[in-house]
Formats: sequence, structure tokens, C-alpha cells
Amino acid sequence: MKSRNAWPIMDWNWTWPKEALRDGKRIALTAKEFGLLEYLMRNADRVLSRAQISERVWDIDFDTGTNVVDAYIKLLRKKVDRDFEPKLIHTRVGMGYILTAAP
Amino acid sequence: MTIRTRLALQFLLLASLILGGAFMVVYALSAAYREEEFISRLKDRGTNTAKLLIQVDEVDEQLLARIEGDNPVRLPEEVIRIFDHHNKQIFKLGIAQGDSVPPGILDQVRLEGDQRLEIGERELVAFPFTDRYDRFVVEASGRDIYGRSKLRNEGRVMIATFLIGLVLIFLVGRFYAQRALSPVQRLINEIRAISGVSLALRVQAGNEQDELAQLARSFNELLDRLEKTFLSQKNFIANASHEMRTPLTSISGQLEVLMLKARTPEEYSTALRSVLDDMHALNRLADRLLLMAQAGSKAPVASFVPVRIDEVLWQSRAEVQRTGSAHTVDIDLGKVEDEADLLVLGNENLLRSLLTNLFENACKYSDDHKAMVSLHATATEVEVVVTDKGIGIAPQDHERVFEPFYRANNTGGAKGHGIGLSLARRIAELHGGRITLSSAEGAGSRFVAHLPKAA
Repeated sequence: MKSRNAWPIMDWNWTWPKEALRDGKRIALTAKEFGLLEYLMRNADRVLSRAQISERVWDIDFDTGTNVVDAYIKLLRKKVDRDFEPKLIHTRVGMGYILTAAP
Repeated sequence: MTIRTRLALQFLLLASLILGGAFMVVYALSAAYREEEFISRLKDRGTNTAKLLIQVDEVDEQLLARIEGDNPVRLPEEVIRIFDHHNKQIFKLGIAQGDSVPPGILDQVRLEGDQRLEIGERELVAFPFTDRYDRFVVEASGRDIYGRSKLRNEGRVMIATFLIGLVLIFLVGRFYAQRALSPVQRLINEIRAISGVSLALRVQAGNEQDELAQLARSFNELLDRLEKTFLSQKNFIANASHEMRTPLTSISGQLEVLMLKARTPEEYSTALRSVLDDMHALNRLADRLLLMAQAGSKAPVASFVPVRIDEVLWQSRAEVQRTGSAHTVDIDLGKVEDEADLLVLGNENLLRSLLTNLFENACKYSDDHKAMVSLHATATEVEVVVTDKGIGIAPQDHERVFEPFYRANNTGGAKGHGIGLSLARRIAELHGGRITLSSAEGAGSRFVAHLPKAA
């Protein structure tokens, strides 16, 4: 996983400025998707609550009843997990989300 | 060549073709009729003479020549000759100039019937005449002096009529062309009188429904639009310079007061911070005016790329919360399922400015300084809904809040230039979208930016 910022300026992509690499395939990500994935990966194998995620990645109070975390997990799963095995992002009902290769 | 002359000439050409054609047909018919009539008279004369000579036994050549010599029905320069079956001339009346009968004509008559010839101005007809004993050939010729002179006269009259007619047609054609085109000339003169400074003038459309009235009306509509644009441009510049002056006056005022006497470092730093705030405000105003000018032109459309609207949403949120410390923006992503629901073809900077303006507006005009933002996707559009619990907008102002520099009466002490919403609308329109508003005074506002999805 790396930031595209290091790349030559010609290759700069405003829409998907970041990318992840999985099984040799490039996955284009937005800044927020990248932030979420990064946070999940830095805390791999640990369950992260929605409140934790929303505060760290989006700087929002989870009390506001936001659905932002769920929406982005959904988007991220489509990019990171849909076409790959094994699945990495898992839901822990009532607790939050976890990124792990061994659920 | 003016249309007037061209019309007159075309009219002339057409009329002369028709008139000339008609005259030629009449002349040809008259000529054919004259010839036909003269030949039939010649033939009658020939037949009568032959009958007298051959069928009436009492009449011989000398008597016949005497009788016929005084006959008042004789034709001018009439010559009648009768030949027997040996082609021998048995009778001759009148003096033939150039006595020769074209050779072979008699045999031709016996074989094929009537023969006609024209020798100079003389016309000649030869025909068979048969009685009980013999097969004769009668040859009658003469000069149709009256007929020909009548025909010549007729021709001369026609040519004269034709020439006079041409002149008349040209004059009348010019007159009519001028009359038909006089409204155009009037229109030209009226349009010449209209310039940048007299845009309020209009051309007269009249009550008629013809093409020229339509042209005049279309031209007036064009002028309406031009005048409106011209006026709004003028107002824009006036308003913009006014808006620039407010912070500038504040800055110079503060500096003047500051320089009245020596100040403590604390006083200096307070004043400088206040001046800096004004400078920032000025800067933002300049930025927005620039964006406004950009959004007004079509230029950015070419550089449109797919933009993730949610990213723009977060950036705008950060910007609004940074500039107004009390401002909060709550974002709800609704039922967004797929990345395609978030892609808009556009310019990221312009879209950010659009959303920032909507957010700022919502925060600025509500007591809780809170904007509630939600994202929805339809089959073709992405909708960004910005709701607040603020002072609201009276129905009569719903359209006017989008006009540049317009500020409703209930904005109170809130700072603003009246640029944000008009800029937002222009940006939305530039992206092929629109902004809708539902609000009532005191009941908060709900702005929806409809943006077409990419692809």
C-alpha cells in the first residue's frame, strides 16, 4: 500500500489519489477510503468500534448517529474483498469491524 | 447589387421571357394563317379558271384570258398556268416573272398531289385537276402584298409593345421592390441607431405577422437578452467594487486609528490580527469573484473529470469547520451502495466551492450553526441535500437569493456578500445540474444540489 503522491506529477489522479496493491492488482482509492484501510491495517486483528473509526478517520462524533462508517466499509469491501480470497474485512455484530486473514 | 435592383431585374427577365414568348407564338400563328389563307385563295382561283377552260365548252383560251384579265377577284401579280398530261402548257394568265416552272414539279404533282413553293415573295401552289378526258395540272402563283404587309405591321407593333413593356415592367418592378423592401430599410435605420449606450431602444415590429415583423421581434428579443446581460454585468462590477471597499475601508480605518499615537505591543497585535482578518475576508471575496467569473464561462467544461463527490463533501466540511469555529457539518451517506453512485463529471475545485457555499450558508444563518448534509443517488443524478434549522427564506425570495449580491431582509447581522448562492447555482448549471430550494421563513431551509452522474 502506498501513496501515489510519490509518483511523477503526470500520473496524479485527483479522484483516486491513493492506491493499494493486493495479489499484484492495483486498487484505486480515494483519500478517505485509503484512510479507513490504513487505520484498519495498522490495527489488524483488532476489533475497532464504529465510534473509534469515525473519530479517527473522519473526525466525527459517532453520537450523531452517522452511517458514514458502514457506507465506507461497504465501498471498501467492494474494492478490496469482492474479487479476492480470503476476505479480510469482517463485521463483528454489536462491536464493530476487524481486518484479519483468520476470522 | 442591392436586393431591390436584383428583384427588379429578375422580375424584368421573367416578364420579358413570358411577353416575348407570347408575342412570338402570336406572330408565328399569324404568319401560318396568312400563308394558309393565301394558298387556299390561289387554289380557288386556279380551280375556277381550270373549270371554265376545261368544262365549259363555249370558253376557249382567248375568251378566258379576256374574262379573267378584268376579273376583280384577281390576286396581285397572279399567274395561272394549266398543263395537259404531256406537261405542255395549254393556258397562261398573267405575266410570270422568270417564266420557269421548277422542273420536275409537274411530275411530282401527278405522283404526290398538291405542291407548294415559295419563290422570293411569290407563293406558288400546283395541284392536279382531272376531268373525264384528261389529267391536267394547274399552277397558280401570286404575291400576297396585303397579307405580308399586314404581318410586317403586326410584327412592328409587337416589337414596339415589347420594348415599351420592358421599360414599364422594369420601372414598376423597381417601384414594387422598393415598396416591399422599405420595411427592411426602416429596420436597418432603426438598428443603426442602437448602440451600447442606447440598448433600451427597440425596433418597431408593427402589428403585422409577416416575416419582417418576425425578424423585428426576434431582434428585439435578442436585444432584451443583451440588455439584461449588459445590465447584470454593470451591476456585478458596481456591487463587486462596493464589496471590496467595505473591508478596505475597515483596514485603513483601523490603521489610521492605530497610528494616532504610540501603542503597546498588545494593542498592535490585536489591531494587526483584526486587519489580518479583514485581509482574509478580502482574499476570500477575491477568490469567489474569480470563481464566479470562471463559472460564468464555459471554459472549465472541457477539463471535467470523474470526481468522487463524497471526497469533495469531506473537503468542504473541513473548510467550513475551519473558517467558522462554531460551524458543524453532519454528513449522512444515505443508502449509497456503489462507487458509481458517487461519481460526478466535473471540476473538483468548482464542486468544492459549490458545496462549501451551501454548507457555509446553512451554518451562517442558523442559531446552532449546523448543516445537515445527506447524499442520495437516483438513476441519473447525485443529490446533495443540505438542511438547516435556520432563519429560512421567505417564498418571494426563493428565486432572488440566487441572484448575485442579493441578500434577503432577514439576514440581520450575518456577514456576507450575497455571492455564495449565485456562485453555487452557476457551478451546478455548469455541471449540467441545478439547485432547488424549499424553505419558509423561520422554518429552516433545504437546498438540494442535483448533479448528473458521470457516465
